Amino acid sequence: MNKIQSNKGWLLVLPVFIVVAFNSIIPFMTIFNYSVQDIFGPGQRVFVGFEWFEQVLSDKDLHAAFFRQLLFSFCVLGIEIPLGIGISLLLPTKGWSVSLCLILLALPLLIPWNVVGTIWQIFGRTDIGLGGAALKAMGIHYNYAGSYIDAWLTVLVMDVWHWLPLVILLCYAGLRAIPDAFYQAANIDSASNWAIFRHIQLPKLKKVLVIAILLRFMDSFMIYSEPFVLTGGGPGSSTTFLSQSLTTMAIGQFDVGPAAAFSIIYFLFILLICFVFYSAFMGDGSNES
Amino acid sequence: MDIMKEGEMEKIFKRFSKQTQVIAVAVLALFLTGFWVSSAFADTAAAKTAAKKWVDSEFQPSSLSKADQMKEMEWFIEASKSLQGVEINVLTDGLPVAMYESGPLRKAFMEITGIKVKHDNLGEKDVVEKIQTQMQTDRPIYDIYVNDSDLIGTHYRYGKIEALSDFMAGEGKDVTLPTLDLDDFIGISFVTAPDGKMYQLPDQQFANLYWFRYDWFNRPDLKKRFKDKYGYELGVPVNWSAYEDIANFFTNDVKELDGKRVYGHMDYGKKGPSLGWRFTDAWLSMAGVGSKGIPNGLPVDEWGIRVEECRPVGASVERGGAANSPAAVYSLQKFVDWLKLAPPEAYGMDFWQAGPVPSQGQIAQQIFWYTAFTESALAKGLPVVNEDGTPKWRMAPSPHGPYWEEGMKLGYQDVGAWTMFKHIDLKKKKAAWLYAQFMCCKTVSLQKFLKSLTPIRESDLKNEAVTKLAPKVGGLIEFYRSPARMLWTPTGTNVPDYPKLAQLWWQNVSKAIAGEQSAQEAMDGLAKQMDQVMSRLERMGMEYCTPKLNKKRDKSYWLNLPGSPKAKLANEKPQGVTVNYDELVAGWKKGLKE
Repeated sequence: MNKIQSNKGWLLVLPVFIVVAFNSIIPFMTIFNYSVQDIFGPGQRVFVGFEWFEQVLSDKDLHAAFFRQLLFSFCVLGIEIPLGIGISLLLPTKGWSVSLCLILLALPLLIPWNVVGTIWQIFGRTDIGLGGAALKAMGIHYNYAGSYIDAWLTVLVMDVWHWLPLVILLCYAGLRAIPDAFYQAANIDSASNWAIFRHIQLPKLKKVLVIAILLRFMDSFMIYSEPFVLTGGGPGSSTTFLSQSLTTMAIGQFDVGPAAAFSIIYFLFILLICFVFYSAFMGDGSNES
Repeated sequence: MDIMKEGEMEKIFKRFSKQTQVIAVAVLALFLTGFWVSSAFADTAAAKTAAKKWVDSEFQPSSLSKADQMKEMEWFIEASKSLQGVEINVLTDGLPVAMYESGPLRKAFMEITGIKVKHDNLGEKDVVEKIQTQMQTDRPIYDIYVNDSDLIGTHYRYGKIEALSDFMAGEGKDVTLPTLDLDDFIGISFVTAPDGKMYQLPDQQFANLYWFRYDWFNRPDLKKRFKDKYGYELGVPVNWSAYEDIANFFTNDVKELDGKRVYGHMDYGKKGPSLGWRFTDAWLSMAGVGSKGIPNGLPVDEWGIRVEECRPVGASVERGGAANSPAAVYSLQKFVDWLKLAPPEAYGMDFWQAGPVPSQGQIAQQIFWYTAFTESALAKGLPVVNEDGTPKWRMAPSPHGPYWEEGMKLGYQDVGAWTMFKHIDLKKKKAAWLYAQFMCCKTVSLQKFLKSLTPIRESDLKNEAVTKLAPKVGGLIEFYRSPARMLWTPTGTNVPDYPKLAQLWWQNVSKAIAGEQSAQEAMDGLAKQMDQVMSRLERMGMEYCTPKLNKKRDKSYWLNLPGSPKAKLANEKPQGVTVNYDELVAGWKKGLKE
């Protein structure tokens, strides 16, 4: 029996295609169009080919910002993921204290990014800020505006303060989803806490952790508002990350062409990292099956 | 009736009906005309009443008599008749003067002219962003702006801004105030392009001056200690050597006064656009980077950009510019060195955070102080204000660096000026132009000056009310009445694209502040990037005076020629020189009388 070919099914895909076109394809083509021109205004544009791509790829400041960004993301993941797991294990599991802990933990997540920057900017000042003044009183020479190390540590601590609760909440949800039967079996075997963690909790948390790592990597790799408000990217270039370089180029200098080329490269890199994560995750999944 | 034929009856009726119709239409027309005339009279009368109310209650004192003020207001009423109900969008920054304009003055304008105005106040950076967007899209966002005259070189070259000289003589002639009196404005030269045309109308001006604690500088114990150490009197520094000595003296020798830690310098170093203003607002001119010439050095200005016949030819020394010349490097090095003499928090502060710090009573002097902060530094209860409301501080002309020579500019003056795009609808343009003139006309300008301390008119500066104000504002009036004022000028016409070029400064300078690069490396980077931007402008082509970069030559070629770029001085720290403040002011007053 011959199957009748019908292309009407494609019509059902059309709405999705239209949404994706407006959402992604058209903006991306626009950006690509900008990236091969030097634009000063309507009627004031020059075709430059791949000049901006070459410029961006050979810019030493952008190379430095890129490696700084990678280092920052790895530091963030290195602190927030283990700490998030650890704290989630310590949280209560029954009674009113559960709600209290979850509400208190979620508070930093509710604060807008630029407000977080402002809070830490004031908190870290040695003349009027509680944190800065306390360090000064302890005899520690601290100045996030003048010292590279202080600036880096402050941005890192600020990010941990802001986003660690997200990791904790995700891990806590993952832990709560483990059926009691696993723990009962472990008790029968007189398993130690470490053995429970190593052989039950951690494997069961794996999928949640992948989400947490992906989210935190992408967010930290695109961080902008908090360091912009806190340090402005300084001292020098020490806390200038890729998003800030891009914003300065696009909105500060109104250099639409170079900024478009930069955006494309930036986007492709994030896509690559996510693809690597995704492949690793799916690969692991297929083995399990 | 019965003897009449039916057709005749109809004819009579029709004729009667036609006559009635004509009469009815005529009566209606007469009625409407009467209504229109009477309502126009009523509108005019209401506008006049409103004008009188504002003249009596708000616009006093004025350099005009009340009768002349009313004449000026009546002209606005007449000129705006054809623009009744037109709505315009206006954008200015958020300085006190702009808030006064968007508040009471806007209300007065609307009541008097019937033109509707939506007046937004945003930060200076946002104003430039909006202007840039409007330039790049050719689509109206606002009908008129108050934009710094620093952009005069940009506006002129891109050809998108209305040349007000042409507008006033052409399509805007009927809405140009006969008593505008452009000769009375103190900043007209700053808004005039190389073609001799005026592109913007000054709305408010303030300068960057030297600020110091007059009370501390007159303390006999401090005077003696300073003289013992440095061999000359503690006073207003004339050169940067003296400024540095005084800064060191207060930060490292005096350290504490009345139980409080004190500092001999204040500045700000946070990476961001406002750090760029700290330099583009004529810091290099104070060191002596540019050529001689007022309002701006020619051929090399204080940005280090060289022009030849109005065309920028380079910023790097290799192309004849001075952005990385020894004088420019010296100016950045001094900024970096002196920041160490300021409170440690200054590294993390920007323009807005650092501005109020001297008023808190710990700072002895500041070389770069915007007079826009005058009003806030006079608030009662501040440690820098006496019981009777007079200031403990004074402002004076800024000291100059060793590369500076007579005939050069010596500081920065900010000139916020009304700016209109060509592509705005003519009716809106006319309404916006009326609004701009209203904000600067003699009827309101003196009161605006007294409220905001940002003068624009010579006639206001000479007014008796200003004389009475002088003792209360720490030297502001003395400065503006003095000939020294002429040396404080905004960015000039050499800069072909202010928004693009200004952004490069803070990004490079911040590297030197953090010690990531030397001052020479930072200025080399800046000069190179400025040349790159100008080469792009050359490739694109501009409406007028397009940049045309010189070919690179050995630095020594340019440094050996007279003028800017100047070769490195063997001694960049000559003997410090100071002057007594009271004698300085007395000298100005004497000079003015003569």
